Amino acid sequence: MSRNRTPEPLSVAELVHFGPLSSARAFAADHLDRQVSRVALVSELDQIRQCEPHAALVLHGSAALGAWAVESALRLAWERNASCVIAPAEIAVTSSTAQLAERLRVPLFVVEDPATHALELSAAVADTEAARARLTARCAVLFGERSTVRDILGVINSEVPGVTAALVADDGYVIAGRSAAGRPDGGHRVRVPVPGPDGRPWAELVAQLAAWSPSWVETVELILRLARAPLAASVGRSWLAIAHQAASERLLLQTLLRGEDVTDPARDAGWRLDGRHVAVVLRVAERSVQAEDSTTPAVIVAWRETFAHLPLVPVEDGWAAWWTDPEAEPEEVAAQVRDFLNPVRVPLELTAGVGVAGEGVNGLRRSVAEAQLASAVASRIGGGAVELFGELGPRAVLACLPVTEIAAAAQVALENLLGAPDAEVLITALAALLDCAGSTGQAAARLGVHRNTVLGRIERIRARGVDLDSPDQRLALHLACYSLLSSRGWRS
Amino acid sequence: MRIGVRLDVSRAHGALVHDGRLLATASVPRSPSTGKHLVFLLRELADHADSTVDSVTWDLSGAFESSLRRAAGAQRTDAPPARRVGALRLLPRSPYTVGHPSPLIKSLVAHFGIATGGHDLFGTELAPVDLDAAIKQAAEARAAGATTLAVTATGAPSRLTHEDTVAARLTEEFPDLRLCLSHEVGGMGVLQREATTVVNASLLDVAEELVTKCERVTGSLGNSVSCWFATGDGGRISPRRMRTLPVLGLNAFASTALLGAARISGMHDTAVLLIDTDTVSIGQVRDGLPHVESDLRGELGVRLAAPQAALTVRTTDTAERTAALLAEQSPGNAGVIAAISPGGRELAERLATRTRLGLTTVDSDCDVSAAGSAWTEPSAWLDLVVTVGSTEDLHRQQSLVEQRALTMVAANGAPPDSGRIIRSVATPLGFLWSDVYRLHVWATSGTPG
Amino acid sequence: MGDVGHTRVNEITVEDLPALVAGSSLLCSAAGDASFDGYCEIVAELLRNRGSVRLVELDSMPDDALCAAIGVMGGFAPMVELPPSGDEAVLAVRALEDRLGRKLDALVALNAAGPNAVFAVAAAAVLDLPLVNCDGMGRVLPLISQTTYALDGMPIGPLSAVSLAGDVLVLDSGLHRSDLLLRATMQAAGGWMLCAMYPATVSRLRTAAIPHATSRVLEVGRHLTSATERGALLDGLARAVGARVVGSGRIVELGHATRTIGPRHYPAVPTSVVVQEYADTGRMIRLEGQSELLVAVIDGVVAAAVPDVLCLIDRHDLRVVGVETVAVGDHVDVLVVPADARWHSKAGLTLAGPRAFGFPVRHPREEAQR
Repeated sequence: MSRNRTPEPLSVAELVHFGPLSSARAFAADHLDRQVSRVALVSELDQIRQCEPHAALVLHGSAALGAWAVESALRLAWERNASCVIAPAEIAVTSSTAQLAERLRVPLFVVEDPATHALELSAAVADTEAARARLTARCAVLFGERSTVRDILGVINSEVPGVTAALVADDGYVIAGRSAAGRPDGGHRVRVPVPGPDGRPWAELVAQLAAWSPSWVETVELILRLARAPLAASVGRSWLAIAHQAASERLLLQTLLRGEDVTDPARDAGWRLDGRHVAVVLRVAERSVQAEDSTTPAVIVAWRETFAHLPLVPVEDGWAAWWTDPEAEPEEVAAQVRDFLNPVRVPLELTAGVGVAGEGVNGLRRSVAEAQLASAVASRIGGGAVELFGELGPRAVLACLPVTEIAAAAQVALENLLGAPDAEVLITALAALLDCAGSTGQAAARLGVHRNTVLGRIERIRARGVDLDSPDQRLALHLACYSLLSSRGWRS
Repeated sequence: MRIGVRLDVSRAHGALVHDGRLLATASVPRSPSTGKHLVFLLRELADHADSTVDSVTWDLSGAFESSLRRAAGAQRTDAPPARRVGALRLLPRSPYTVGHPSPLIKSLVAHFGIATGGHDLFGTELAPVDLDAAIKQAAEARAAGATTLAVTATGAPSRLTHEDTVAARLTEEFPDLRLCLSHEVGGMGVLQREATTVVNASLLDVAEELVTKCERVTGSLGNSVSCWFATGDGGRISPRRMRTLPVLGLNAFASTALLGAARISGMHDTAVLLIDTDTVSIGQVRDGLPHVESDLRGELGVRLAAPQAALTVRTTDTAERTAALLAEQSPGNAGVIAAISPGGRELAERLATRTRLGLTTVDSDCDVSAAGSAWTEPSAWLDLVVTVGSTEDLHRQQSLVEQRALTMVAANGAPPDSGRIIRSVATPLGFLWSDVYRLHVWATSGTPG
Repeated sequence: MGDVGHTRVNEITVEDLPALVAGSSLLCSAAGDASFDGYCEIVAELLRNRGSVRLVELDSMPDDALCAAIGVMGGFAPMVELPPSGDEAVLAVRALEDRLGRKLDALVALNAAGPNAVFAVAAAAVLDLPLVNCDGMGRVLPLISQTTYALDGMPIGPLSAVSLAGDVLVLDSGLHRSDLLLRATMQAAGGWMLCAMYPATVSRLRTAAIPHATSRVLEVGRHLTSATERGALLDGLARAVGARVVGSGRIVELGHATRTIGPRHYPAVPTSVVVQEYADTGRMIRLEGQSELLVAVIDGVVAAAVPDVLCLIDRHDLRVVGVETVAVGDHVDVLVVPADARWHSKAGLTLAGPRAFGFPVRHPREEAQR
């Protein structure tokens, strides 16, 4: 904090949150932005007329004779642009007085002993820097006592008056805190980058300030900086723990899927193996950035926020989970997972496959395998897609095809056809015709064109040297078309 | 399921209610001698009930009023006339005029007498009670044909010893003389209490006969059906209490009508316009109960200590203006409008069509008072004067009175622990230089709404 | 205010009694139109038997005519519980005349407001003396020393007082000790005493009294008893006594809550009444008082204060609502009736302005002069 500038006065909010007004009963408490430049002990209402603006008025004596006197004081406070009115508790503040405070937007505090409060307030107001230093110190102590990201943000949001803070990822995803802070809707903001456990920039602490003054911004920025190290540490701690747990669970699940008996360790891990299961496999969308080991903690953390009771275990090409419930149905599970895949919740472009329900460990094994196949299909479709094995049926097999390799081979084998200017149209037509077992009518319907158009395209395909009638060729042609259409690389 | 029945001069109107709903209404002509028609009325209503009927609450105010008016010679009806009674007032000095300002009370009293005695509101004796004079006045009242004597001592709300002393002595002297003492009805003001006590005394015989008949008719539905009587405060009391304090049932009509109209409309806090042939009465329902006060003049034109609905009565030609004033006060909910006689139906319906006024209307066929009677709950009203030493003392005394009121509610037949205080007001009496408070405590049973 | 369109009245008959009673209620916010039926019946009987009471103006009386002010001090409740017997004024005036050694020629009202407006008429009837059309308060004030008589330097004594048991007291003391001694006697006396005080000649009263006090009450009463419509009544009161509507609304709060939970939201000490206005502004009119309403604070601003009269009129019943009978939920117009000009003098405000009642505020007129 720079020492070469007089600090701006404290706001009423600051006095409430870390000052002498913290225990007072407050009315019109939504209007605490005003700064307090001095404290005036008012024993006669007339004194208020002489008060400078931004005073905190402490009523006692004849200025606090009853509700009418408090109401008069509120009115005079409003006229003098005072910051707040503090009244003794022996005056029963009823709704009419509270309503007046609200209408005049003059905060009213009720305290047991106004005289003592006046002294404490004066001390706080006179030494703003000391008051702010106390706040900073208090936050530092509390940061040290908190171990999770959420709790650390909670300290900022509850202790620092008029400040709403959030931890926001690069892509705008709110990791913790109040999302209002992350919203780009103006106001006064303080931003501090937060490094991850690896030291690389990972997220940003964003604080929205209700009141603004240079020295207050400095105070808030200092507090945010103080929060960085505990945040990084807590993230590091939690991510390491998650990564470790994930690795061991991955081995356990591999063992289980191989058919070995893992009943005891699975139970220790909190897995449910008996009963009816529906498995889900999450997979990063094919065309998005491929998953790395480092993404696992983020996915698991996001998963736990939604499905706290369900373990998510890394598997090859993704993460597996399963619902165990006698009533569990794949469609229902798919709906829940679809919600989860909403990009607001997950910082990655994920897709999912859902297996058919199965009983016991064997059923689980089968369901996981099915979910894996379905997830492969989903991952080709793109972000947010969820495929159900039960709906895919044998088509799921296609997901195992090395479409990239086949497509590469097809580019050589069907060079002539692919050289056509309208190659994509022809390949699509060919695929449709093969899908429809050679029926030009059905193919036309599927493509949404007239049958004559399909016949025309078949002529052009034939003209490029493709024999549609040879049974030997048909499977190869079908695979080639499927692979070409499924792999992105081929289409320009 | 509950039934409410209102007896007026010529007919009996009944309503069957359950929770907040009015299920059925019926009406029969009254047969003065037997309760045949009434039994028929109850049976007809009970036929609409899909479970058992728990209670029948009777509103006798119309019958009582007819009896009083007949005694005053103001109404030709076949209602049994209220009895003329004696009135004895205990005062420190003789007033300039003896008697009572109300023509009704004058007509009900065969002999007015004054004996020395009385206390001030602080409980200090103003003059020693003159028992010989009391006996002399009682003898004169008996000579004038009175079999009941209403005794009213000034200061009785704060000290009742003179009334009790006189009662003890008179009972000794005249064992057959019935006595009604003003502190039993309570309230402040020697004239208000005297009027209330006289009306009560003169209704004792009429009440005895009606209550007995109502109990018998109620019994025709089965032994498990309880019998109640609606009171002016919008509550109800047991047959036993009605026999001794019929004045409590005197002004039940307006209170039960307010209660019924608001309940039928599903309103908890509202103004209610009761439309009669020539008049519009505006009353209030607050927290689901009619707004009542003591010391009101009411229909009979005499201030009574017993509580009754606080009504503003206007002629029908001002009805629209009145409704507009209500609409200005509570935009969107001017109030509930209900016809309380066939003559009021047309106006009620006409006002209800003025949507600008925002009035809620009650079906003109149903008797709001009979329905309201069914919805009453056991209640108690206390009106006392206390001198206190400190704020704590006031709270202590107020709490004691509240407890007393709750006890009365329970004694009036409410289920244990169902009582609640609706109003407990301590009003400091002005310009007295000492802490004297008038306590109004009103308790009832059941939950709000 | 005395000059606001008063009409000349020469006598008061039993027919005038309802208007007198109604009119007196406007200037008495504590009692409102409380039930003084018992007493009114006695006064009616007196007026029926004695004919009428002559109401005379100060300027029509000889300078040396001796008068005394008739008024009751004490509470309304004891008066309702035990109405006066009717001969208290005779006992009081005879005792005062004995002490003075001279017969009175006429009576004046201590204050032609509240029950005292009627007491003065009744005393004149029972004593067969003329009543001078003036008073010393123009409203109800709690102390017998708070009068324009005292303001003008008239001695209060010797005075006589009669209790409701018929005890007679004669007191010879100064202004404030008289007040003190009578107050001390009040409880033993039973709660009220009828007094004959401020004995003075007409020439003395010419500067000290507020003229036309009784005729003004009668005029107000005629508006209150004849009005069937709110607007007409308010217009009439504005013409008669300069009454002004401070605001209209619903009573939402009474006094200070002594319990915050349970049913006792209602006052243990109803020294304040809060009226929420109908207008969209939602202004709150807070009325503070001790027996009488003394100060009106609207949104924290003192809008009206004693010695001007504050009172509540029920918007439906068109009657004055007393502080002792007001209830939460009542719909009222809040009226202020300006006091006589001499109450607005510096000395007048010192004696009966808001600060005299412990409200450390300036009267709106003082505020305007700053």
